[in-house]
Amino acid sequence: MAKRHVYSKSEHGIGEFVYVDLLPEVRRPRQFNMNVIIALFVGVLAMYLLIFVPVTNRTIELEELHSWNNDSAHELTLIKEEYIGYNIDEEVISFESDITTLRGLKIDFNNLLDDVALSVDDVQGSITYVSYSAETSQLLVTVQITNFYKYNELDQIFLNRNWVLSTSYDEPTKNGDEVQYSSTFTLEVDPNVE
Amino acid sequence: MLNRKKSNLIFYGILAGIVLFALILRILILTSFNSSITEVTASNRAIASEIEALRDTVQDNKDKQTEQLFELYDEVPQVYDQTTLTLYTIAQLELAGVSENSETQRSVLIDSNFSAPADSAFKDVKNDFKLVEVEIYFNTTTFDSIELFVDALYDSEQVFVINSIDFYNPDGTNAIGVTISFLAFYAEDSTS
Repeated sequence: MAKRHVYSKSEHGIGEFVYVDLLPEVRRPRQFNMNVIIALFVGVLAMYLLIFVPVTNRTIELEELHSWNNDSAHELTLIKEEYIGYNIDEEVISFESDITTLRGLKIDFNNLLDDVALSVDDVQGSITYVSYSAETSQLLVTVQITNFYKYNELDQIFLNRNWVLSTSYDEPTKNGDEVQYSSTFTLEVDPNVE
Repeated sequence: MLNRKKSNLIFYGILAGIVLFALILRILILTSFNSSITEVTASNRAIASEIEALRDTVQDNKDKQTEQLFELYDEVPQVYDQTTLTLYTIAQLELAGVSENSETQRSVLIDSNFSAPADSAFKDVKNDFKLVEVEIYFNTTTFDSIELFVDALYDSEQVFVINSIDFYNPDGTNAIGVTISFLAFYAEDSTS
């Protein structure tokens, strides 16, 4: 609604000077310029904080990573040259390692049997049967002894051998009318003993 | 007609639009940067792993004096040959005093497709080598021939491993049967 301003009244009350403001309420030019400045300021601040700063940080980080990458690639080249310089043949090394494993599977069977024979001699016994299996790492030995109670002693002797992991034996049985007992020992052989 | 209230609303809307625009621009730009960073980081990790592995290999093996391949093939021949193996076995039996005659009833059987059980003592090597089993049988009255033959296998330059032995203890008079099986190894499935 237009504003009505009364500026003066005549002395005689006949006339009045009335100023009617017909212009709508609009922003003054100074207020308009201020809003534009504020908007520009917010725009610049937003671009700086939300874009410029993080992009700068990412750029620096990326440059550092690229630099590390280049250095590492160079280091890798040097190590590869060192590897070639030493004439390292991994296939031959692996093959030799496999053969070493193979050598470890060899058992000096005669040595084992000599040990067993000596042990049986200690209890005045005799070996009648021998059976060895590498797949199960077991040595079966059938022993005849006249003294029934010597079997336990023989068992202890076997256990004291460094190549024997464990022992067991059957219940000794009498050989017919003879004064002889017979029992089969099962010896677990340690294949890793030198 | 615009009034003060509407003008203020428009002004604040413009400010919000500016901030929103900045946010969208940020997302678009940083997404590209982040993917580049991820790529380069992954590449760096791969290179670092490669350097570490190669460095370990050089450290572990630089002082190793490996035997020449042909010397290793003396222990484990490159190629399996049945004739060579058979002749070698027979020669060792002869040297141990086990001739081929009606008394000894000597026999040599070769299984070139021998496969060790998965849980056997040979489980660590069965995939690295070709295994060939040789089974021999003979009669003898003394332990000497058994001992000599087993010693020959143990002392041989080529690697032989006794797989099984069965015999009754000979008494020096009566002949007993001896069964010995041993394994020969060949590099056919390993180095070329």
